[in-house]
Amino acid sequence: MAKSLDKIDALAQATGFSEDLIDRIARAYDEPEWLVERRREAWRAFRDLPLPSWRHTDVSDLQFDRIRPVAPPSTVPAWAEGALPPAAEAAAVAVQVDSGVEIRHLDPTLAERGLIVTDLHTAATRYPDLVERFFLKSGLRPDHDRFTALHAAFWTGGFFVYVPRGLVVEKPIYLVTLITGGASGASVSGHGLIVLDEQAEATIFDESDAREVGQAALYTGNTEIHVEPAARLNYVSFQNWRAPVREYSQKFARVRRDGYLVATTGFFGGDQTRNVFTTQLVEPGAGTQNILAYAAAGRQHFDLTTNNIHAAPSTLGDMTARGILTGASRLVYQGLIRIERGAHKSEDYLNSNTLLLSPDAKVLDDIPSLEIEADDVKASHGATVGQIDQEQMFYLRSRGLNETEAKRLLVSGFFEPLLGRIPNEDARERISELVLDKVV
Amino acid sequence: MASTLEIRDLRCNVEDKEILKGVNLTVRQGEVHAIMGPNGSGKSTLAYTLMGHPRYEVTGGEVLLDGENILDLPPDERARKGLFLAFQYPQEVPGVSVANFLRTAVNSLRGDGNATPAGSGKNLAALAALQKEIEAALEQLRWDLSFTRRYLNEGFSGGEKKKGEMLQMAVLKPRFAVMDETDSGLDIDALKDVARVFNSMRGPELGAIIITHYQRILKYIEPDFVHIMVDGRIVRSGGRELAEEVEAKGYDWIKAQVG
Repeated sequence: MAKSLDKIDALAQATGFSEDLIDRIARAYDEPEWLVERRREAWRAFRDLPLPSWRHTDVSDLQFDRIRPVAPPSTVPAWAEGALPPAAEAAAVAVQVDSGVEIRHLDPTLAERGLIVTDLHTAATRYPDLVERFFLKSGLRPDHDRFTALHAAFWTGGFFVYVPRGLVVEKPIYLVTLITGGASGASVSGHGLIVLDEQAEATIFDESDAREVGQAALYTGNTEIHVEPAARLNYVSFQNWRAPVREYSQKFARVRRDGYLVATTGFFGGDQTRNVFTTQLVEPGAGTQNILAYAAAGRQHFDLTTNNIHAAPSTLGDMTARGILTGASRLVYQGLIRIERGAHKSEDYLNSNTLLLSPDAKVLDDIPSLEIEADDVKASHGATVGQIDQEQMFYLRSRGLNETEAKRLLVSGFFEPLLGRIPNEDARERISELVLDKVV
Repeated sequence: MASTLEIRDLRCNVEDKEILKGVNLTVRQGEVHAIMGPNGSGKSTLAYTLMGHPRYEVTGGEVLLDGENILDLPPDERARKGLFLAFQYPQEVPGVSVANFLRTAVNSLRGDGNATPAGSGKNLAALAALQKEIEAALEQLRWDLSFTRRYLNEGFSGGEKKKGEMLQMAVLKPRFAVMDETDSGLDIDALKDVARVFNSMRGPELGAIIITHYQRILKYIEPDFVHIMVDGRIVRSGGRELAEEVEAKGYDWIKAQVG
């Protein structure tokens, strides 16, 4: 690890996103030729694509020539040490700090039984067949937009998690991404590749945090999730950049026959965040539950999308999005259920609810949509945007709760239906904490 | 020393219409006052104004708690000074359990003002003591502990909501309680439950104003004083016999007298 960290450090000096930089990254990590070729393809897409012109999320001020293309690697800063889970409570703990990755812990018994938790560079040289089988095979397309292309050409660090056939991992696997002062004005772009092979089971916490960043960092990390036949994954992701970060990211999940994914994602940090979470149910019996929580404050801008794509019959989905906006924050939420031709006997339900805690906060768009091309399916969607009820406030305040306490209690009640869907107690508590931190 | 709640020439507008037109009333700890009156006389407005509802605009007078005017205080600070309102229409608060709410309210009232929704008691002994108080009040209401796991007032029947107000009152232990038509919509068993909780709290520590349209509740909670409110003023004050007179003659009799 340390060796590649040293090597990549030199890259921090390189200026500009260039094909030359790709070669240097590839050499630094002894990447196999097929992988370098994927980077070069993505480079061509990056070069040719314009900046996206998203309807509500303006990125026109981004100047790639003023962004340091690779943040230098760093070690876990003091502010993050205390938040890392103790080894005794984790199957594995892997930490990406800016562009470098440290594997803090991997349960040796589980490693012996085939559990792999490492950085993606190491995985590409040590387990080339596995990586080649799954890398960029989730539906994530490098030419989707300029940020995805940038990511696919210049990603560094990242995580590779492979849970072999039939292995049940009881304790959670933690993947932590930290952006530090060293990444000020720089690009951070890890690639998460998570594979649960047939009948495997695991809980994965994918958390991110940032502090002490001066000039805004650009984060374009993407995650690919493969749930193989009859595997079950409880995936929990919290984004809580507590420093200027602009994030343009995607998560792509592919669930096969009788596999099940519960994906809980929470967005709390960053200046401008755009994330798309797409789950494809590609074989009969595949199922997913997507739970999205958000809490924005100040001038934060969140542009969040969840898509459930049913590409096979008898697939089951459910999507819930719920969050609060305070200050002058902005939200765009798009939820899509698509049931493709032939995906009969499928079901999916989508619900989104936003609570506004301030007259200056705005939902720019809340667009639930259904695209149904198959017969004999069940699907529905609904969306609400509401405000704090003043009669409820008076009732609570008459019992001695001050304004903040009363709001917090109403907000915690508002989140209760979402929390009730989350299978993991730690995840429920973390979401409560992160949400209530925003109600001051 | 007994505390005093003194309402002096209280005037109040709702949406620019004068509803209270100079209310005077003094309640000492240990006393139970009933305020009776026809619909629209301003009884509920008085209750909301005492608690500080933002929609009720005080245009004159004062409300003194041991000599200190509380009209400029927000509702939560009035609550911290020992004021309690049993609502005529308690609000539903989805997602917040009765137990969580009671813990949070007790922390707010008795603590340092930094209560958390989970009521993460710094003091386990205090939490255990609170639990005992809740259980005692539940027993008087003929409820079991599972009631406290329900979301606050959500899906409660009318009677359950009123009993829930009494549960809160028993746990929060106010110095002065205003009960706004707590008897309306209650069947006789629920009315007895409400009276049982009230009477167990009755004593030198509690001053109460019982607002009611009917004198039915006064058979179970015997007031020390009865006041009749008509058109934004208290127009008659007396003892129990006044309630009986109203029962026999109706409100028109008084309305005609004060004309």
